[in-house]
Amino acid sequence: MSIITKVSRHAAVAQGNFAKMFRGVKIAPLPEAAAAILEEIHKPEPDILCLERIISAEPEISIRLLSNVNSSLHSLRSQVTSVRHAITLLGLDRVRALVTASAMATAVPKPKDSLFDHEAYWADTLIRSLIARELAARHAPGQQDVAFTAMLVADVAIPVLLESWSEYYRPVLEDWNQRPVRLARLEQDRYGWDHGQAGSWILKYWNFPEELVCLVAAHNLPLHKVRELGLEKTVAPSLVVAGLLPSCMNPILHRCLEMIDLAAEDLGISPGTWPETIDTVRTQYDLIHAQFGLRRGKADRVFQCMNQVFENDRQQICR
Amino acid sequence: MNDDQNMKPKSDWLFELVAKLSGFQLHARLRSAGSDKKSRLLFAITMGVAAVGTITAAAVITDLPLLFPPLAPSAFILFTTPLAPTAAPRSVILGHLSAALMGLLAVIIVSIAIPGADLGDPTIMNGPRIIAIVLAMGLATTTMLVLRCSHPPAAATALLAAMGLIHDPVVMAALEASAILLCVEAYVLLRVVGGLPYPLWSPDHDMARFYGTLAGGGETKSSGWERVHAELLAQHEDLPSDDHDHINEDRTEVYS
Repeated sequence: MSIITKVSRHAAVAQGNFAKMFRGVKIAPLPEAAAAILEEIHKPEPDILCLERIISAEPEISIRLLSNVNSSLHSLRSQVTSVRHAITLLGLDRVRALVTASAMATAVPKPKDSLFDHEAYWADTLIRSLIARELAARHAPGQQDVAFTAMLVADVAIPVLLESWSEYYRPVLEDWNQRPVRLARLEQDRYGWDHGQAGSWILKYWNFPEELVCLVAAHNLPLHKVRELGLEKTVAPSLVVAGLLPSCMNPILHRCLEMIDLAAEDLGISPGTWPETIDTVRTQYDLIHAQFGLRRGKADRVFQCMNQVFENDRQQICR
Repeated sequence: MNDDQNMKPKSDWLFELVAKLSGFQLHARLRSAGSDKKSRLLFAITMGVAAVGTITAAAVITDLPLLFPPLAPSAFILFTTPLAPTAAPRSVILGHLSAALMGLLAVIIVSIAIPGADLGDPTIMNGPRIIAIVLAMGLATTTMLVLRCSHPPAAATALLAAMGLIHDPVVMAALEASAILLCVEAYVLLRVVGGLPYPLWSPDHDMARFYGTLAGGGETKSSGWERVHAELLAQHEDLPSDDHDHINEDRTEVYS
């Protein structure tokens, strides 16, 4: 690598110049059908007939939609067989969440690196998304599915960075694997930006709406910053809190405790409600994990970690 | 536990040096919320002055007619909206070249069509001259649109040619040389000082859409979410500590 290229790459990373960083990177485009569906949903007045037409032409998405609406999550008395009926029952935000989940599974790269466990990445993402949805149901009612979608795409930059900028990003992940420190903290200390900001650039490239782009960029911020930006009434605080959940590769009790404390202090969610939340999340995870190609036991360590917080003495954990 | 010292980056010296120096680039300044407009203004003024100043100095030293009026608006566009399609080297170089040629072509056409038009002397403003100017403007505009190299200051170059001010091949070559020199300067200054992805030849539309006003986008068009996103991209080094000191050990609510 020539010295000019090296200096140019150093400058791009040091500045967090994502446009330059991801310029030569082949970021897989969203599958065509998914992109068309998301584009229609993001319009000020989405056309349900048009949505139905696009979704019906895509067997994979149609099946996902119908199996979701007919699952025990919704406890419907009669079977739903039409895509339009499913869209009406689920609502556009839920349809968007399902389509995004389907599209992400295809578009997110799978770096061949010993530091990256693709299954663990999706297990973490899915649990955090479900927790964000549960928190949003209490903190920002009506926006649960926005929270789910945003959390689902919040860490999209991690595999992209590891695949395309591994000489810079691998040391960060190595560090993260060795110490109980938040990944975003290590990224900020080393380069002055974090994967949330990088991910927001990728989402913008994929033409996601600005709301989701902002939520992803904000998901690693401290809550006082979220308030300063005027995002306290959005699902951003739910994402910040859910983002504290430790990875199933490195479940840390302290992190769970921190998440529960923050939810209590800033979202007014009583710690007493958490066992029920964990149960709900676990049930939902068990219902949908197969859609992401995940094995059932992958997330067990995180659920065990969360349960331990309630089984152990608090002072013992802090020690 | 405070292990901030251990958390410092273990990067190589070159990265550290580049990181420090690139902190002064316009791109880095644009990431800092609040300094956007001022930084852009300061950058455009200093770089524009430096670029035109260098060409002026080159003109004085070489005694070549490198200075021509449309150069100033070209420099203005290059340093205020460097990532706009009109500022790409392709637009600047081809724009001025095609406009000058169309100006000359208009003079030739009018000279042939109106015998005794007397278009050799630039000080004479007569009917044929007016026709040549109008024709030059039309031809230059059409050519730039067809070749997709629109560069508004080049329209003035067509005017200069139609007015008889570009009268010999040396002037024509000098004009084109100064357009090339301006693009080379812009490339170096915008990339090194600005940290901006100024293209080598054609505009990069994919990249331009991330640069708003620098790519010619309007300032008032951004939505509330876009403004928040710009602020979010400027946020850094303000994450909560990870030492868990803030976890209150004395809390007794429902944990066991």
